[in-house]
Order: sequence, then C-alpha cells, then structure tokens
Amino acid sequence: MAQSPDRLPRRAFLKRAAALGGMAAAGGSVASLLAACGGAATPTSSTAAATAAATKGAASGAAPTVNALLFPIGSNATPNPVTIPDGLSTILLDKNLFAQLVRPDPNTDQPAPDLAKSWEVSQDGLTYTFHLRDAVFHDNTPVTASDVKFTMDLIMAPSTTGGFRTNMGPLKATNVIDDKTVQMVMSAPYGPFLTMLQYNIPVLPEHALAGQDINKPTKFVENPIGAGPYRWKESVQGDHITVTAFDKYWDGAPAIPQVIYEIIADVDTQIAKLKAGELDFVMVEPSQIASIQGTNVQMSYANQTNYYYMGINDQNPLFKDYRVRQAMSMALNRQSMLQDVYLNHGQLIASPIDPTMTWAFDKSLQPWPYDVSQAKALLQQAGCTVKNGVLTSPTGQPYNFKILVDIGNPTRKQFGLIAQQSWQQLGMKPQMDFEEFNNWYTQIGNMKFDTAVEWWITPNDPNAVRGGYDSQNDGTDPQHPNFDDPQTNQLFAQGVAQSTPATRTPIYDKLQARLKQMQPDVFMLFPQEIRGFSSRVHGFGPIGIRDALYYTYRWTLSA
Amino acid sequence: MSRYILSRLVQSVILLFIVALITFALIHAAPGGPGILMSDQKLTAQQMHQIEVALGLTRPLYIQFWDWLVQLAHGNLGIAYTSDLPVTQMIAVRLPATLLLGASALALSLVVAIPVGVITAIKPRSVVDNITSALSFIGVSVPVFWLGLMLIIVFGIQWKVLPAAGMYTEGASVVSTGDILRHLIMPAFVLATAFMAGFSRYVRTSMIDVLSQPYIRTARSKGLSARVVLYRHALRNSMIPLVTMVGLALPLLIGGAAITEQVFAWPGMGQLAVQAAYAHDYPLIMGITIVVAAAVILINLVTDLSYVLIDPRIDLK
Repeated sequence: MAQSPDRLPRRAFLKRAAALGGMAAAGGSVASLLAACGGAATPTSSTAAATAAATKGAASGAAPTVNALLFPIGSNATPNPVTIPDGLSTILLDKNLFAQLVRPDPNTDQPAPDLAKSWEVSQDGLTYTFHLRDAVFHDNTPVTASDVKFTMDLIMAPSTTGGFRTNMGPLKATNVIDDKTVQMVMSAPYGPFLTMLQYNIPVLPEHALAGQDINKPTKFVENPIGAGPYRWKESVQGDHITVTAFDKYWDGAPAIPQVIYEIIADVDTQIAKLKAGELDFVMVEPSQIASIQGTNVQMSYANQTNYYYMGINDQNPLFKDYRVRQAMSMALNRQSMLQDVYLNHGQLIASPIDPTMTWAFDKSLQPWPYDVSQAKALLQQAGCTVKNGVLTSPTGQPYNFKILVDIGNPTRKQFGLIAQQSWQQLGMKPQMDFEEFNNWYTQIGNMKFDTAVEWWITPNDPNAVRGGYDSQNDGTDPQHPNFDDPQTNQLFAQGVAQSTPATRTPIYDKLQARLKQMQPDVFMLFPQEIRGFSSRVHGFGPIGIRDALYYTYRWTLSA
Repeated sequence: MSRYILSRLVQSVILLFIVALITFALIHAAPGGPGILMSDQKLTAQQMHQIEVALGLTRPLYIQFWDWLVQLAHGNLGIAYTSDLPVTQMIAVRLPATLLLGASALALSLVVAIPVGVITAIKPRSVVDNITSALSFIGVSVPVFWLGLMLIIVFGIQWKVLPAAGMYTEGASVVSTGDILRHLIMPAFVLATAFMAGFSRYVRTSMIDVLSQPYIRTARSKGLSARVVLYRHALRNSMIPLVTMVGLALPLLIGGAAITEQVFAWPGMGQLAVQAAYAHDYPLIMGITIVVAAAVILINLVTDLSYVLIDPRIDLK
C-alpha cells in the first residue's frame, strides 16, 4: 500500500536490527592507537573487578555513570532536516538540534507552542498567523520570520527531493508580516495543517543555508545550526554523534549536559549495552521484552500513531469483492496476534484511524469479530465455491496467493504465519513469501504482491492515511491507486477541508465505519511502542520516542 | 623473480576488472533499487525518476560501468548514496578499527595455535592431543554470534569485568589506549577462536608429517638435541601450510569480520559492507569490493613470495 512518512525509517531500523546488519566506524583517533596495541595484556584485574561486583551484591544492574544521555541510533545520521537522508536516525538526531514552529505536547501529542508562542487561524481556515517568541540559533543570531519563510519555501520548492512537502497540503505562500510575525496562506482549508507542521518541520537559519543546495548541503551538515536545546559538537563517522547543551535555548538550558547518539545497528547489542550500563535507551519488539528486563532497566510503553495491517492488492481480481476482504478480516485471528505476539501491548482496531488520534478515533466502532463460520457465509454470498479442496472465486480462479513478509523481524513473521493459518480455514491456500527488505518494499510499491504484512507510522491526524485509501487524493500517492471507492474519497475530501476537530469528527466517524465495511486492507492492531530506559533516566513521558525527544532538555539523570 | 611479480601484477589487474564487472552485474541484477529511493517520504514516481537521473541510474549499464572505471583510474570511488561522503573517506575511516581487531585476533590465534599444534604433534593421540582436538572442533563449530553474545552476557552484564560492546567508553573525556584494549578483548577472542582451532590443526598435521621425514631422522642421528631438531629443522618446514592458511585469512583484516563487528558494535569495515549491501548503496558496495579484492590479490602475491623465504626449494619463475 501507500508508502508513508516515517514508515520506512522505522522499518529499516528494526529490520537492520533484527537481521545482522549495520555499521559503526572508528574515530580518527584510533589510527594513532594502532601502534600501541601489539601484544597487550589485560589492563583490568578481572578478579578485582569481579570481587567488586560481588560485594555490591548485584549480579547485574548498573546504570551508566557518564553525565550524558547515551542514545542508540541504527545508522550514521546526516543532519539534513529537510531531506532526512538517513531516515529514523536523522529524525531522532534532529529533534534535539532543531526547534520548530509547533511541536507535539508532551502529554497529549497535540500541537503545542515551540518557536511560535501563539497563533491564530482565520475564520475561513485559509490563513495561519504565527507569533514568534524571542529565541536564538546556536550561533546567537535571532530567529526571525524570514527564517521561517526561508525554511518553508525550501521545503515547498519542487527541486527539493522528498522531505515532508506533501504533508503541507495546499500551502500556497509564507509571508513575513514583521520580524516576529509570519503568515501562512492556504489555497484551500486544510484541517491537519498544525499537526503536519509539528511533524519534523524545523525552522532553519537562512544565513547558514542560503546559497547551498538543500539536497546536498555539504557545508551545513558538517556543522548544522538550529535553535533546538542541543547544539552540534562532533560526529565520528559510524561511531557516535555528540550534541551538547545550548545554554541560550528559549526554554532554558537543558538539564543533561550532553546527548551522545551511539551508532549500534544490532538490537541485541543495544540490549546488552543497556543491561551492562553502557546505554540509556532501547526500542524493542515484544519478543525481546523478557530479555530486556533487569534491575537497572525501566520498561515503558508509549502510544505512537501506528497500525499493523495485512496489505491487500485490491487490483488482484481475487480480492476485488469487499465481501471477500471482510471474510478475510473475520477469519483472521487478531486476538492471537495481540495476545500471543504483541503480549497485549496494544489494541485491536477496526480502521486505520488509531486511538492516538484522540478526537477522531471512534471508540464505539468494534473491529470485526473472529468468526470463521460467518466469514464462510460471506464468501458464499460473494459466489466463491470450494473446488478440489481450494476456495475458488466466481470466475474460477483458485485462492492461491502469497503473503509477503520482509525477512528478519520476529513480530511480522509471526503475524504472517497467523494470517496464513487463519485464511487456510476458509479454504484459501496462502503461501509465505519472505523477501529481503528492499525487494519487499519494491514489490509493494510496484503493486507486484497479493497480500503483505505491513504497518504505517503517520502523523497524528486521520488525513495522514489518505494516501493509502483515497484514489482521487491530490497526487501524493500516484503509485497506489489500488483501492477505488467514491464514498471513501468523498469523506476524506470533506474531512480535510474542515479546520476544527469538532467539525471534522462526524466526518471521520463515517469514514471509519466505511473503511471497516470495505476493508481495503485487513486492519489488525494498534501497537504500543515498547522501550526500555536505564533506571537513571527520568521525565521522558508517555508519548512515542520521536515526540518525546523534543523534550530531552527536561529529562534528568539520577546519580 | 621480478618478471614473475610483473606478470602476476598484470594478471591482478585483469582479475580486478572481472571482479568489478561481476559485482556490478550482480548488484544491478538484484531486485529492489537503491535504499536512497525509499528513504524519502511519499516520493512520487516523478520525484523518484528525478533522483534516478541525478544519480545517473537511468543511463545504460555499460556506460555507468565505464564511468565507474574511468573514475577508478583517477583514484575516485564516488560518493556514497547514504552519507553524501566520498567512498574512499568512508573506507579510510573504518579501516583502522578493522585492522586493529583483525591483527589482534590473528596474533592471538597464532600465539596459541603454534605451540598447541607442536605439542600435540610430538605426542599424537595422547591425552593432551585428544583434549585439544576436542577443543579445536568446538572452536571451529561454535557460531560466532552465539559465542559473542554469551561472552557479553557473562563478562559484560553478569560479572561486569569487561565492557559489553563498542570500541571505547562513550562520553569519556579522553580516549585511552587501556580503554580501547578492554573493549578489544572479547571481539578479538571471538574472532581468534575459529582461527586458533583451524591453525592448530594445520600445524599439528604438518608437523607430524615433517617429523616422519628422513632428514629429521638424520638430524637426530647426528646427535642434535631434540629441541634443536624440533625448532630448527621441523618447525620451519612445517610452516608452509600455515602460511597458506594465514594468507587466506588475511583478507579478513581488510574486509572486516561482519558478524563479530556486528555483535560487538565494532566500527569496522565488515559493518560498513553489510550496511552498504542493505542500503543497496552501489558506489559503496563497488568501492568496498574493489578495495578488498585488491587486498586479497596483493596478499596472495606476498604469500606466494614468502614461500621462497621459508623453503629454498621453491623457485618462482
């Protein structure tokens, strides 16, 4: 289905973690040390250290002692906040380097002030006026309205590759009113605008970037300047990136003096380092929870906009009839997915709109129940018959198809296997197809698949999933015109054009009901983000790590 | 001799060309495009095409390959897609870590394997021989990632006598040699384990063979001490198979040990190679392949030349 903001980065991250892959690199300092490493003896007395550990009375359990937050990223991160060259790694780094106009509230995830201390939306929903607070970039130049205009123009420029341009919807122009006031003008009302603006849209210093090609700003990425709570210190290719507290940050100097992003591709190694007291954070799959728990680790489960689904190629004649998809949804043992695979850290969903979209999520809408006999009845209504032991479509095509899963991730493998067993109950003959990640991605992108285990991390607005299900959608996802339902298209179009949650909610209630009915994909569950922090970290809050990192400067480390 | 070296060097260039050609063909035959095309959000087909044009991927393959060769002749391996950095620089930054790990592991394995091989060869099928044989088989067959994780759990997490992973303590104000050595112990041991086991078997076999040769009997009957016979006559002659084995193992010094580096978050070439493969970073894959291939060819040449020094009977023409 639709490719999404942020979906690949996380997937790539997890995937690299799960399979053996990745990187890290030595610092230049290493070269000079080579000479010194001939036939060296152990510099530590292991017996002494063992005794010390034993007298402490703990077989395991110590938090890091260095006065810096030690945070893992899966790959080297190039700090280009517009093109995001390294996906999730870049995103996690950028949170501390760059301030934004608005950012997610640390508790509710809804748009909250950052560099914009306040804003107004015009009655017609076409003009957003932001009032900037007094703030400075890391080189002490003040943040002005023209920096905002510069950044937005940069993001919207057609020559800029990728980035989050399409999230800005019908943004037409950014105008400087005065030094501290900036106005954004839409060509049509666009309800999700503020939520999209808080989703990885930084404010960049015009003076540091003007004249550079944003697709390859080689000078800027060597010494990036933002207005975030931490400023650039150093990057050791493939080993770590250090950012250090910016005392003149508008919301006060950070409590933790440094954040060191350690590049560790393998999640098992990240876990080992967390348990050994060499790391402060790790994000894991449910199957890894047991191995992560320990005396110096605190588990945390956060709500992050995200959902798992069985992607269906609606162009395949086998799946054209919505009753078939509904039957596949009913026969899918989602309860087992939630309980046995996700260990109940999440909830089942009826549509792609998940509980983090608080105002839009329809709590009363129940997912299809697990009911194989009703599913079989539906298939019969749709004209399917069983021939030679295989379910066959009205046109005589047997339900032999593939379930595409990217290789290496334990959760998605389990989901795929459960789907296979579930659908076999209907007489279908699905086969597992495990593919290397890039191949998996390409097959879905080119619609060369039948069904696939997929997920989608999006901004916290129901319109964010529009690209996957609205065939008339404004050109954001032209590669995926696979599901075509006029009613769905119409509801998406209505919902996005309203500018307040109050007027949008009833529209999205209808949309959720419609998507549940049509099952363009078989919607499965909303997973929580599972993470372990070292016991010394405090103040990270209940939101997903991408959003929580906007507030790293408020976190503290206990001794 | 110089003629021999010259002809080998000419062969090497041809060989490198073939390696490059095959690698190029393989990465372009692999399904899925470069990761850079997927790391951007919601790219439209048109934007994808723009990037492909910018990267030169829309040109015919033979032109792309020719271009790469021309750049190579200028000592330029291109710019990696994933980092916007020159490939040569990325390799140069990681090479020291890999050399440190590989050299330590190799040194450790030889220091253990040669004495063990000699001792077990002197008294074959003795208790010592049987025990070391069993250990060797375990050493060869234990999976590297498992051994690595077990060591991390025991020494890094349970006993806390060694750092769990990484190359040095992050956040320390000064990077000390001692700190790096502490981080080096476990990965070097893991990497050395398999070498150690294999090498000691080769030394043992070759030593048993040499000890049964007539010239050893002659040396003994001349009244030379057992020690002199063993070290002066037997050991040197039994080294040739070991030199071959070490020569074959040496490319790891440059190419990196992907799994060991992975498990211990060791910032070396092996990790870089895996990263490049996952991201389908064509220039990086080509760069690493050609550098490692050149190293392998060169090391093999040096290995062949070293036979002459060890065994005067060998004459390279």
